[in-house]
Amino acid sequence: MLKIIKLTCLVSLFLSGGIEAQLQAQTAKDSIAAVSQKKVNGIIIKGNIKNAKTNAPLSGINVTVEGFSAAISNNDGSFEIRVPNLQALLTISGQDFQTKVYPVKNRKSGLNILLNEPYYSSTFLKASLPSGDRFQYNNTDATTVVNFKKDQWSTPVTESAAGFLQGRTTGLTSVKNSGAPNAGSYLALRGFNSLYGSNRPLIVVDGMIYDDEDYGSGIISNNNSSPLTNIDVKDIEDVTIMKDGTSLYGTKGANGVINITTTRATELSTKIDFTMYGGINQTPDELPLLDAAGYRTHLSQLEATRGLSQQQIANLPYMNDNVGSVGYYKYHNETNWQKEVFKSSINQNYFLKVRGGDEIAKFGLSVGYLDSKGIVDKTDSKRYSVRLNAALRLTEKLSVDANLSFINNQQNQWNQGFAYTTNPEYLSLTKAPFLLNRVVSDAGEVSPNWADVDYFNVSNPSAILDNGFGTNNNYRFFGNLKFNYAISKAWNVNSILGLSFNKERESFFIPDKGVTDFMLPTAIGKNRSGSEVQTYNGLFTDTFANYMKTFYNDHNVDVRFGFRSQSNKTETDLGLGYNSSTDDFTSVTAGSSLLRVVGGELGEWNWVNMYASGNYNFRNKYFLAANYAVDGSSRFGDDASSGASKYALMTSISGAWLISSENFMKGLNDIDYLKIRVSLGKSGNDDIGNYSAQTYYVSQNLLGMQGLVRGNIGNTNLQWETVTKTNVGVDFGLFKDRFNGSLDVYSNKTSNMVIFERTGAENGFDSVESNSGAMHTFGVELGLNARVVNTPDFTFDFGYRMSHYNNKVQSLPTGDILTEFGGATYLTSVGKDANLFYGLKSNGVYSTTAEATADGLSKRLTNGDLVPFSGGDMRFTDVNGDKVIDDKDRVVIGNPNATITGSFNTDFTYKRFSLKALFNFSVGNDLYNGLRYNLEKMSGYENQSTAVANRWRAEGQQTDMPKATWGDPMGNAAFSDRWIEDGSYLRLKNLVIGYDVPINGNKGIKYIQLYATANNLLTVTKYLGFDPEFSATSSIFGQGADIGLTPQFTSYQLGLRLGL
Amino acid sequence: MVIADINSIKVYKYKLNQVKMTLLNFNYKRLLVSVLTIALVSCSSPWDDREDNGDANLGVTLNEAISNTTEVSQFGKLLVQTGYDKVLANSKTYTVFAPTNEALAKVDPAILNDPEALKKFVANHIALNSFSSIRKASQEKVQMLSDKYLIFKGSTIIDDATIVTADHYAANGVFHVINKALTVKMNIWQYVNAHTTTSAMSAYLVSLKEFSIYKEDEIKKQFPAGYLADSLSNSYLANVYNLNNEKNSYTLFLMEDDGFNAEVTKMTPYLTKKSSTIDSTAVYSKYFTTRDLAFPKAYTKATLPTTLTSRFGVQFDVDKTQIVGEPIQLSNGIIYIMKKVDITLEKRLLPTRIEGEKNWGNANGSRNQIWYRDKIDPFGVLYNDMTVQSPGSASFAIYYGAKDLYSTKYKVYWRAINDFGLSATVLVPPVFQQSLRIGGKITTTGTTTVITGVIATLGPISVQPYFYDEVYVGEFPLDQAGDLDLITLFAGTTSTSPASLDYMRFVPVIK
Repeated sequence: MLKIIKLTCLVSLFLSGGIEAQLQAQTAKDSIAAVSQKKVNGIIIKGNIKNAKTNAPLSGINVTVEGFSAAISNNDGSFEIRVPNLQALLTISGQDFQTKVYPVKNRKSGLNILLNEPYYSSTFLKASLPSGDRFQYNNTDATTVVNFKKDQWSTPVTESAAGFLQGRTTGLTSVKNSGAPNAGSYLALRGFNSLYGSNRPLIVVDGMIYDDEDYGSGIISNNNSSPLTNIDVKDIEDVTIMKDGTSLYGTKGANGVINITTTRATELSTKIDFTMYGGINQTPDELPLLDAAGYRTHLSQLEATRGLSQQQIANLPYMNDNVGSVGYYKYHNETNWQKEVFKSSINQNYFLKVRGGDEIAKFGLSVGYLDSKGIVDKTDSKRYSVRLNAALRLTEKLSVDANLSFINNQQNQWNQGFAYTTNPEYLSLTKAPFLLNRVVSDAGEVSPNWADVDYFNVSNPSAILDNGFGTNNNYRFFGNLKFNYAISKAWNVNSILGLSFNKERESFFIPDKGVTDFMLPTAIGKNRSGSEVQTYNGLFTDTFANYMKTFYNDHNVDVRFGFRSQSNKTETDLGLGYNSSTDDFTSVTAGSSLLRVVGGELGEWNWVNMYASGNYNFRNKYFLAANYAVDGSSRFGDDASSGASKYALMTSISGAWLISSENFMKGLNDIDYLKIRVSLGKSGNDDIGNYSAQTYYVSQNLLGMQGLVRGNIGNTNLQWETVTKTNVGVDFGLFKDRFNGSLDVYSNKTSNMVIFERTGAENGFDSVESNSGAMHTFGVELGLNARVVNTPDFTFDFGYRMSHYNNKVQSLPTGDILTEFGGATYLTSVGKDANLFYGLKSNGVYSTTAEATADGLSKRLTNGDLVPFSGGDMRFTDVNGDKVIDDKDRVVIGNPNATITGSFNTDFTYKRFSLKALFNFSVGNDLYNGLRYNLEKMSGYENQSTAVANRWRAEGQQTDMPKATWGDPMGNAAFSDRWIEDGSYLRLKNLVIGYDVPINGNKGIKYIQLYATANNLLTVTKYLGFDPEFSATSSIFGQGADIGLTPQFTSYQLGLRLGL
Repeated sequence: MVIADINSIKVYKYKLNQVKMTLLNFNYKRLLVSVLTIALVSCSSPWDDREDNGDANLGVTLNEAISNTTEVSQFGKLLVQTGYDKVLANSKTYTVFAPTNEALAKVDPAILNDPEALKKFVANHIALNSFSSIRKASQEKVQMLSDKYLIFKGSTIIDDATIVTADHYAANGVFHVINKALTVKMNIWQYVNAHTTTSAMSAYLVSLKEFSIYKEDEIKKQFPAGYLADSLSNSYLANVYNLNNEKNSYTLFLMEDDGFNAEVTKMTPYLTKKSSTIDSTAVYSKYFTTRDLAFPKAYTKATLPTTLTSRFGVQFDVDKTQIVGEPIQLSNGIIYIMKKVDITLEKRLLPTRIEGEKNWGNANGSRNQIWYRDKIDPFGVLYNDMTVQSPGSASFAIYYGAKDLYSTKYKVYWRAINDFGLSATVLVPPVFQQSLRIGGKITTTGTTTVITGVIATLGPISVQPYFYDEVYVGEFPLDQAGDLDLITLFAGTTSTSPASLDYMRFVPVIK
């Protein structure tokens, strides 16, 4: 604490110069006021204002030179205004037009100013930055602002904020986790900066950090919660995505910041928006699987390789072809299990937003109800949300903004991914097609009862869907109060006090009937139940002072300094029950008391952050910004030598030159806007584990006795990861702002990167966490927008965004890191990209045994025997030349990171109609199709894909599909490039047809808009799985591994928006 | 969702580049429409190529594949004729050994004209499962749909045919083209049945369907046909080897009549079996002659060993000079026709050994006084025996039985171990005595039990401590061949008299 005080003193010293400046500024202000009153120094300039679309002159438009003069345009669009000098900047604003700034550039007359509709140009959008709101026009950092107002009303109701951002900005990787209702997204800005820490950008909502972690293990397999999905897209005003210059967030800013602003209470007249949507979700295209006959042929060959004799095979129950004999009807059906599990469904959404107020109190209130069903039977998400944003002017100088939201979300889910016996979707793909989901008698009568586990010991998905459940009921309160006290025109003090409270209750039941038994440590498991409660409490404060001033109409200074703190607590408690007496008793307490398992997790961490930022510009042409932050966190280790707490110092500096405002540019009428930006800064990542820097103990049971044992090797030197960011960018607007864009080149260098160093076996621990790695990411981003056609009736906008990054690991003191996820092996090695697929390389299938013998390769079985490959086995490449195919022959076989990700949109409007399409694409990323591995491994009773019909069957057969062998002793299905596929895709993510209904002067109604929206209408890909976009985990080790999550699907939606 | 080919992405990218360049020409609208059209037209699932890899063989069933192959088209016609085309069209996996048209032309028309025989003939070419020409085992027994087993040797020989071209595959199996049709062979039992008129031994073997050598055979034969395995329908099949079993291979030595009769005559004196009504001496003489002539393995002439041991322990030398003609190859083995198989009486009449622990009852005391021991003798040999150490009553009796004794004089030996009864004061096991009663019948009337018809009582004999050799007990005559159900071992006459027995050996004396 003493240290904090010392630092505070330091900060004060640092800022004391600023306070002196402020004193001078007070006097300076007075002098300016005196000057403006005289109005003698002003130069009169003349110009015209026109509508960019119709080219008609615009009257009643405000033209101002801030702090100096103001004028209003005449009927013919002309205006006259005094400016302090010919380098001044005009601000032009009018209702229904986007506010823009216009540099005079040494011209006295003939200024032709075109105005566009609101939110048209990204240059004039306002970014919400930690140092204050600022026009993109004079921002020095790589920042994108996504204004939600353009598209939020037509977006699919199932779309979350993170999903909405996908394809609407450069540099943001947003990968939807799955197609399950309310699934979150994997988010990363500009690639990744950390191996073991989070790569998720910091999310800030209305000035307060929004915690988007999923606490606790989650007892329903592969369903992760993402609280961010609970913010309705229609509640969001805009989102500012900061890719660099995030040093002000100290050790939370390394991955960039996504700053979300919800509905602003700015309206004075009462406005009511009401919307209702209804939609249909379409089941995905089925994966082509073997039919009953094909499956049986496959099985008969597989059983032979298992060592069964001809007689034993003939005696198998499903090999009996005598019509009417015992078991005949049970094994002679043709069931499409996918149809039993995937069901098309509907979704609906009602949303009401009321805004209004008076000079003293303004409010924005929204109430929403969402019922979004999934495409797996009986999955859904029901959301109830309320939000109240209010702005209160308490006194002349004191105002309070309140942002309060409460959300309740009730979800029904099933196990996903490789929960082999309980995931209905996996079962629907692998269950024998000749079986029926109902009991069939020997006479062929079908009973209404669900069939039990089959001969192959495979569960019946229908039984799980009918008698099991998995629910997730979560609440979140997220609210803050922001006090603002304006000391003077230049000075104001703000304080944000925020609270978030999140509670999530999961419970599930998997019945005994129809589900495979499983092993428990002391018993055979029949049915199972579980219940888990996760809570998160966070308290956030941010107090800062602002100083903003213009000197001599040329020097603009903006200084802010402040103090943030955050304290967090999490708790998870779970119970698992097994073997309740019947499937009707579904709670944990009904399970056998001998088998019950209880557990939980606690987490607590605190963070303080002191920051200061200064922005200066000269005549809005030359910009300079500096940021400075000091961080303390309970997560950091104490210094080993002094025992004192560690503090992180993060700084950044950036500058920009607005070339287009220079006098020499005045002749170049086609260049409206050109800016060069450069920034250099440091940010940190504090996601190093709450207690890794400390030594802790965990409980352990040994032969019935409880005790405590060391849980880790605490590393007291453990600290944040540091990311050094450099960025060079160009922003431009051409041809009367009809074509604008930006190009950024950046480099992110991670040092002190946390890795798990392997330790000697004798100490009893595998590894110790240390800051000894380093990594480098280099990337390019390009964003373009064009108004291609611009006529009064018809406009056509085209936008294109692309991002590329390249990653290189620079230091790993303990050598290569191999990680496993979902059957895939990843390699992280110095000099290469992090996280590469690492496996065997294959080169077709041996057509004959003679061919295999000629190659002379063999495989070592687990018992040590060397077995040569023979006809029908995979021809793997023997990399090390020892004639044995094993782990030493693995090579890099793919990269889950895309070479280029991006999007383009085409927006047409014709009179009252609009047609908007948003395409997003990913090029050059590889995927591990783990689901296809299970559908083509040909080593067990799983039903297989139709491609398996091409398997090798006889000597001399040319094919690329190896033979079917029970248990796959030769490793034909080992992790290899057989399962790596090109994950490139192009997707028509959104297609919206809108119609603005004429209201013919009906005074009660402001507007009626109709929307028809299609989501994921078209996906162009070579990928063989359901869908090329998925993310099974929040870690980078696991991206690109398809473990069979519920795929994203096509949905169609009709919506009505009513404005009163 | 519509999935389109990735190539259209490339089209897009190309077009996009074009768009950037021609942006100002406002041509994009038209380009976009055309690109979208291309994308929609080229919509095809990426699975399409994967599902069809262009291999036409995998699209047809075996039945179609065979019919389409000209060199075996005749066999294809036979498949249709016999209905096996339907079998080969279903979803199990089969191997077909398809004879060429020329090979098929050589087949006996009698088979082809008899629908039943033809069906069996066709079935003899089809096997469940896929058998590749390249296999790990050098030879394999393949069960055909005719239920016959054929030997698939190396990569080219199936039974007595050679594979011309191997490994034609179809969706549900493989077929090999062979140069000779696989005609259905008889098995050993079918051969024996077919030769009852010309072979006395065959006639005798078949006659055991009516006559039951053992009582239990008779019970089994009363079950309706098919209820139990066919091996139980004939006493020879039940007690020797089931020569009707296709799954195994056997060798049978079938003697010509003269040799057979001579051998039976030799055995007759030892198998006297007469009741007041029936004299079945002849039947048993023949049974004990023939039971040593079947072996559970097909010995070809080359592999026929010089000495064979039957499952009843009778060992004899094979006199290859007595083999008549070539051995007869049958579907489940080989028959050698022999002029005679001369086995000396010494080799035939084997001693009977009765284990001490294999008693079936007791008298004069409680059963829980009988101890069964697993021990190692001083020579390091494991043995199991029975002791009664302190029975608590006098003349403790233990009952034994013996099967298949010959009608001749028997000498009795036993091995009885005396290594118990030690205490702090008794340091050497005391000698005790025990005796043996041969034969007799227990008749119980009310509470009195009478033993009648005892053949002989041997002993008492002293059992010396730590004596591990056989001891001669005595001898007794037997005038009827067959079983002795009651052989009684008696402990001494006091209530503490022990008894001990490792085994008894009854050695028949050649007359």
